[in-house]
Amino acid sequence: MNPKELHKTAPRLAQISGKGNGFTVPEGYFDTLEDQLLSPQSATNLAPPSKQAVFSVPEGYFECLEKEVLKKAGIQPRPVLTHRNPGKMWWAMAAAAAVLISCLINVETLDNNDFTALTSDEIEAWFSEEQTEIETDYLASLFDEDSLDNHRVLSDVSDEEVIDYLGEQDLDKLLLTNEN
Amino acid sequence: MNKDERLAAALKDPSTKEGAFRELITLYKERLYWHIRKIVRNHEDSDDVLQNTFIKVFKNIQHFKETSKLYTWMYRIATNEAISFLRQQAKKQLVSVEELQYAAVENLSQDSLYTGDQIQLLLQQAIATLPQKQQLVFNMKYFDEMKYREMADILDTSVGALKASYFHAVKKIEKFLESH
Repeated sequence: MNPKELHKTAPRLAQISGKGNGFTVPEGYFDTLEDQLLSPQSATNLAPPSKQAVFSVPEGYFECLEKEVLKKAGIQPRPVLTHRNPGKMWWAMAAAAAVLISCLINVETLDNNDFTALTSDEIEAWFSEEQTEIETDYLASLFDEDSLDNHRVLSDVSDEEVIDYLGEQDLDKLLLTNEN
Repeated sequence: MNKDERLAAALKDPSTKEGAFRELITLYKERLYWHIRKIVRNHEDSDDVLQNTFIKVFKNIQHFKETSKLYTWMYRIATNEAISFLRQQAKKQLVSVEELQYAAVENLSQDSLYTGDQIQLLLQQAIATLPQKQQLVFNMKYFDEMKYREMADILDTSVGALKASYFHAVKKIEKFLESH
């Protein structure tokens, strides 16, 4: 918008366009800025953060951790196997297979769950507790393009309100949304 | 190699970085200061934000990609720092950023480093009513007479969106001036 256009669009604003903004700085402020920033005090800010580890743990902490956690969880530590027993190996493989099969059954059951039985409050609570973030693009993909036609959302909104709304939005974001 | 490219290279070289940093401050301190001052409005706060901006530039110069200009990159850091500062202050004072900005404008009449007259103060009040991005666009265009292309690089927005944003800002400010 050149000065002529500004005068036409906003005559009051055009009248004060040459006046500046009225802000000033203390005398000599810009003359000392470099020294201030490079002073020994500021130099500590400029130094890269030390890569040396600043935290340490008590001696033997990691060696005992597993034992401590298992103890608190009420789980007995597993006995250490001193030699391989082929019979026990088969039992272990059978147990692993059983766990795998039960997992598969559970997944199957989960797929057949009826989500319609959940209330809106429960779903809302799950979203807020899990702090789930859903991308706008994903949400948009769940709706048909013409689904807005079913709602009379725009009938009660005046042109002026639409212009104000658009003025307050980041137009680039709106354009991107439309492209999707 | 232009000045910015030479400076960026010197800042990345440990043997020349301090001298280059001093040169960088000398070159950009005033432009960045006035950009920040128009966002945070108070001199002491602007000084803090400006110093943080330079420190961030110094610490992160290794991440600066030569795909953009050093000057635009610094402007972007300054803008982010100033807006983050406002958000932090608002959070500390348990008010919204808008309320914080209105209060900052109200305080201008008592500020010894503000010499604006009644109409300039009214203009600052009008700017404070705009959404944050429109304030930035208005200040950069109206006061700094920056080119849309440069603004687009700094604010990572299209030229078209910036023109629309400036137009809306001018209309709103004119309306505010008319009614006050």
